[in-house]
Amino acid sequence: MTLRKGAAGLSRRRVILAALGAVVVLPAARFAWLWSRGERMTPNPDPDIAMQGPWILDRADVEGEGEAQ
Amino acid sequence: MILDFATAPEETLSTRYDVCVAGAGPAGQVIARRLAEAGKRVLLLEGGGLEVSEESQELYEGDVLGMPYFDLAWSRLRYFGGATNHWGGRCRPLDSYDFDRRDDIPLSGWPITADAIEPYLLETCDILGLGPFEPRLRAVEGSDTLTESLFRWSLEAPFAQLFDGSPVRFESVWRDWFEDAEGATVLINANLTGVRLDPDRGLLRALEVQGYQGRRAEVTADSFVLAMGGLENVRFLLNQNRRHDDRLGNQGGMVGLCWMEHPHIDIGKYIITERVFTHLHTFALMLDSLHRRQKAEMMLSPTPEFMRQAGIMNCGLRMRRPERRALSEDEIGGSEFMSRLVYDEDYFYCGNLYGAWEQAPNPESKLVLIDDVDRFGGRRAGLDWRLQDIDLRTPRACVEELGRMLIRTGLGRARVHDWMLEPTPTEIDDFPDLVGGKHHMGGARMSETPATGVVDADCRIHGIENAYVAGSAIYPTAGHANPTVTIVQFALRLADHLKTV
Repeated sequence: MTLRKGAAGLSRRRVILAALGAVVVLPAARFAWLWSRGERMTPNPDPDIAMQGPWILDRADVEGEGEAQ
Repeated sequence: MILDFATAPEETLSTRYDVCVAGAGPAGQVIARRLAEAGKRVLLLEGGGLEVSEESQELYEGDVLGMPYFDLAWSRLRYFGGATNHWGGRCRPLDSYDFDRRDDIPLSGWPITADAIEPYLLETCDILGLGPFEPRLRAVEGSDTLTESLFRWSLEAPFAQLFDGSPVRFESVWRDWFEDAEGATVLINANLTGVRLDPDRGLLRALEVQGYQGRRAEVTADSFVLAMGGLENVRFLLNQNRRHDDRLGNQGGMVGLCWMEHPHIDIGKYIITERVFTHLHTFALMLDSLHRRQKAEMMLSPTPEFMRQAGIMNCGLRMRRPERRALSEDEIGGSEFMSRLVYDEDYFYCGNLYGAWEQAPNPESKLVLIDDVDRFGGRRAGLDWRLQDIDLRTPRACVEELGRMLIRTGLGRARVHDWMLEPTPTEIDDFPDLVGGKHHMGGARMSETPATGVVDADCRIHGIENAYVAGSAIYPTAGHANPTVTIVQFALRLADHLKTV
């Protein structure tokens, strides 16, 4: 099937692909980027809490074993 | 009809009514309307007018004797509609376990269960303009000690939008109905100043009423309800017990004792180490809905098992909406570990923890009479509000549980407010940020016997066959929920009881 050229000289197929990219691919890429940056601290199912100043921390935090990852 | 006491016809005052209700706040209006609709002749007395006035509010003047508290004259409103004319509209029923007696908490427990008022919840929601409450409590993954709990607002606004709109105000919502009502007569500017008792038969025969221009009258009825608010009901009972040898529920000396508030304060802070809430922990999803403004706040409460295990009372620990910003030096508070975390790399949000919680019953926390008298000769109120160590242990234990949950899930960390780090917090002279919620509760507590309270399970004053108390003064314990929903539930229940008397 022959697609007619649009106003910008792009084929319909390219316009549709660009729109899909804007709607799906870019947010997904942004999400992946954010996800890669945002990491949780190490979960500890059985925390032994310790206070450091006013903060309620994992004992491992206080003893230097629980650096944020 | 609504009449001014100063000009009301004599026959209005000399009529014998089925029920006379003193106080036209939410409790008084609900009782009067329900009984009038059931065919009873009801007289509703209101000490103020239809609008706020200095003349009426002045009668609420009193002294603060204990912990710092609001100006007593203005922490409630003395006119038609009562305190609903300035409330925020935050609504929630008590939890069923708030009614339980606990062996580790002296004077805890109600002589009834939550089932006694549960049938009135839907009607209460309708009166207060609320949506349904279910589900009230949701389990939180990562914790067997905390549940997510919900408030609703008496507002014409989406649930997520706090304080936008106007809560139901009883100065106006039913005013037309009372103007046109045939079975209910409202007397405004009618100040309750005394009672006439038949001590031999344990009956209240009449209420003494005075106007601002000097008019006096006695009004008679088969039954009487005091619905003047959590401070004024107690002050009136204290004054009348001085005149009538402690016959009005004060046989055990309990009138005024165990007065309670919901302490409110910023109780901590949290950070979140997740940039986007993607993993499927329910707690992360709850945070996500908070972040997306789908809910006003996230409120966590201790389970009854945790309350007993930790020896604490109920608490509403509110996670305020997370903010995209770095912690300040003050917020880091000298923690070496926290100072090493980098904003936008190690953590992405921080937020405040705010709380309102339940005060344990405490006879030392009380309303008393002072020597100063008001214009009608009644002694004024002295509020001696006090907290015990358990009242400060409660929020701290809840924040610690939240801290544990954040560690278990790896989602972040929590901190407590500096004042909670004091070894004996109740010895601190000044809590600059700790306030009450203008929730005046207790002082005429419900109990099986006069030894531990003032009214029985039907809200009837111990020792008086035909006089009742409505409102939050009857609460022996108060959960952490704002009191109005429960006030209305009990008012509906009391009205149904009075239909059968």
